[in-house]
Amino acid sequence: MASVNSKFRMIIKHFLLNYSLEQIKCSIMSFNMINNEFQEHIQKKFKLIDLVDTISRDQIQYINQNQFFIQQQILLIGLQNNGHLINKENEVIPYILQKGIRNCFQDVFQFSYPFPSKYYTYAKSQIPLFSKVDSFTDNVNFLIETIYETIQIRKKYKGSFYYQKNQQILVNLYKKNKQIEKLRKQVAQIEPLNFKNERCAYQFLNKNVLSLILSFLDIRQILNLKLSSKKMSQLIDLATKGHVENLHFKKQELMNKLNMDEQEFEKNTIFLNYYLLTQKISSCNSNKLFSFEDTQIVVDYFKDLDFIYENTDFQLNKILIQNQLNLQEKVYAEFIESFYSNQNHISNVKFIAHYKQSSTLIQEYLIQIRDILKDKISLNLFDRMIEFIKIFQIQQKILFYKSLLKKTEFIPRLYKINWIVFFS
Amino acid sequence: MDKGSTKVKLLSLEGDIIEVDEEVAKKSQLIKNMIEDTGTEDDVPIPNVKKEILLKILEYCEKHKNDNPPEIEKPLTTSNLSELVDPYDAKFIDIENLEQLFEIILAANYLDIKSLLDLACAKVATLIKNKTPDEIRKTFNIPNDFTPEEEAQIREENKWAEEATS
Repeated sequence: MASVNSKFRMIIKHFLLNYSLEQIKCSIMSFNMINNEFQEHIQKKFKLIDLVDTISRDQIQYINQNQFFIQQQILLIGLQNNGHLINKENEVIPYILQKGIRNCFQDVFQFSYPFPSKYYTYAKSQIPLFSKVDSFTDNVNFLIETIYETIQIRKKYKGSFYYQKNQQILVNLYKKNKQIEKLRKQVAQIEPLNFKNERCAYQFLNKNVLSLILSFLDIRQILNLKLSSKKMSQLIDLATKGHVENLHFKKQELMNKLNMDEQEFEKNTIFLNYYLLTQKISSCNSNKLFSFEDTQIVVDYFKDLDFIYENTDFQLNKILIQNQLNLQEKVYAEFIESFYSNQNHISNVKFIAHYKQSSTLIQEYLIQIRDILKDKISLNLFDRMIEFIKIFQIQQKILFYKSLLKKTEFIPRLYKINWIVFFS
Repeated sequence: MDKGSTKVKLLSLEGDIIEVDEEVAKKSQLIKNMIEDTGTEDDVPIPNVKKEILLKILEYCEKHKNDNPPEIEKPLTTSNLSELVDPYDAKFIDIENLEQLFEIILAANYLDIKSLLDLACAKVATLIKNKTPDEIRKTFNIPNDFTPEEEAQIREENKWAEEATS
């Protein structure tokens, strides 16, 4: 009986797979072709920018390009998931607006815009742009352009690739199609359980095995597993403790290799984050106001940097920035008050003029501080970036795992910043 | 199997003898150590592993007797293992019976075959990836012993994780 069931199940399974695959028209080959072409396209874009770049900026560009590239990958994956909703160019903007730009591409918005504006302007003149909508910010324009290019590439392959995550799509198709759903129920009746005789995963799990399984999962998936039962949650806590110890060991090993101690590591991490932040800010032109969020980040960084650097110039610049920020806050408060009380003490024009002036000053101070810090940095960070990133990622994992264990209640913000993709 | 190569006799949980080339058996660090200590004359007892599972594992060892599969990337970027590992390995570990999959994991852990242990654990991870807690319970036959309040509390405590990866 079992073999008949098994045979029947196989037939149905093949039917389901063939049916779904026919609908999906998905093949790994076509995906790879498109992915490769997309990567080449982006690389060409980089080369174009490299032509106008100076040698001294090479290393900085290398970091930025990596980061940019990772973000493009995220965007591409996002498009594969949602891409079936966009079929024509004229649907792009309505789609984004309908979904909400930030909600739709959160990851993209977390990344620092990688190129100074002059490079971008040059690149823009060389590459035909889809959208010249002025009301969008540069980032959004760039985003739309990238989407457009992706669609162009996709169209070349008759739109057949964007269902790469076929498992998820298969599930959705099953749910949508009543005929398939009926068959699925029959399959479930034939062999509904993977574990028989009331056995479950606990009987096969030990600390070592669970720890290894966890290492293949990202933090959210671990959390979902943790939420499956109390016992599983306890087992994960136990396995996580062991995993954290292993990570500490690995981190120490890499740090020894780089001849780096904890303080040095922390200093470099703060510096690198600060560096990327100032890169972003310095790419803003003088007409652009700092957002409150940017300003807040700057203030937070000072708290981190303060105890490490006692350089006089650094302290002086810091005070100047702090004064500017205080002044900005005061002007902003006055503006809000006058706006609500209708007294009109301070005009909108005056308010914006002040903010522009202040932003330019802050920008200059920040770049000065960055240069001071860059001179002071003892590790040749840019030459040993790959090793450093590995340590940084291990540190991220340690902090997140500790937080899962409730040993660390607070994760420093700089470890949440997405300049390196989590757990890559 | 080569005619001229040295044979090793492995004794399974059921007491059955399985004869295998020494180089294949030595893919297991445990068996390798045992052979180095006692030679190949005596039977090598593998009391924790069923014959069925041992045969399956030896099939993997035979395939990889001359190579070491590359490390699988962590964390997994896809739940489709065939995109991450050798097609043979992906097919080998595509086992529907979870009991058998977990028995391979425990045996690979016991026999100390790192690449197979990684492969099988990665397979389990693909079964967890993209699933809700409820779907995970169903897949692994895990009874839910949380009260709604306890579940809500854990969610609240780990809200940052959801935000960080959303």
